[in-house]
Amino acid sequence: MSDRLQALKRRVGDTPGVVAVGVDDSATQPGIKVYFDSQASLDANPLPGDLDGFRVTVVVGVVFQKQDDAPKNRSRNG
Amino acid sequence: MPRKASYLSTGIAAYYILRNNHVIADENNGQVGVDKVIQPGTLDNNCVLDPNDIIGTLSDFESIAFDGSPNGIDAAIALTTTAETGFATPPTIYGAPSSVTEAATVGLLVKKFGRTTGLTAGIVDAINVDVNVGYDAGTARFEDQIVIIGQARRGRKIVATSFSEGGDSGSLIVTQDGNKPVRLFAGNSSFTIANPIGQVLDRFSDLGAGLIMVVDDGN
Repeated sequence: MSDRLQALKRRVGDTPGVVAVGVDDSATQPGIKVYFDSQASLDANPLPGDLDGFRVTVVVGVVFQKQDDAPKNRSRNG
Repeated sequence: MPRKASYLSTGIAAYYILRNNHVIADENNGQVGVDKVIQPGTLDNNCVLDPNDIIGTLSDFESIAFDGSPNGIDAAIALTTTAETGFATPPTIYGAPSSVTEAATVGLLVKKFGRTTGLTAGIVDAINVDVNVGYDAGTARFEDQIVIIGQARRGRKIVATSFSEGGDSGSLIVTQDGNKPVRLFAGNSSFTIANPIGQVLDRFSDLGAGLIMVVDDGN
């Protein structure tokens, strides 16, 4: 990953409402994929379709949580 | 349906279950050499702790930082025996994972077999992902992760589906072609976050080189 792309990821990652920023290298023009927690956050902090020569793809309504939901596979008294 | 835990084999003298820190090390509060790993979890056993369900003892874990500094993996291991764990998913699922890992690329087709959603298929949506993940202890930042979205074939159509849900943490993700491991730990109903398997193996490399597998055998 280029330094430019890494710098762009960091910059976009500081945008309010952004929960994740990743790389999408599936097309000829490399890009970033930006995951917002809500449409409202995106509306308040819109991103262009291109930044510094990289494609920008936006996904909204994403919150990442650990995925255990308490099956409780651990015991200290077992 | 309760299922056996995933596990890791060093191929040498000792065998280790490979799970998430947040599953068997209580988000950094686990006590190595003391805490027991049980399968099925008590939630799947009418909240009863059956001593016969103990399959291992917490052996090591990678601490998760909740102070904003970057994390790489959410992983822990527990010492186990081959009498307590299996080496493959049921033959009707995909059998044994490959001992050869594969670096994720956007568009890579993957699958997983987990406690909650069973066998599901998906595709890598983004790589080198920097992401904030919610835990009971707070929000943790992870770097260089993998985002996966679920997709299933319905006749001639491919439709978006859930790839994982709560309770699937720790499931091994493998490539649809060749069962080569990636790894799962977080997400939501639409997106799943996976640790690159290479980082996980590097962290526990002092266990010795050898075959490493992480599976759910369905029992």
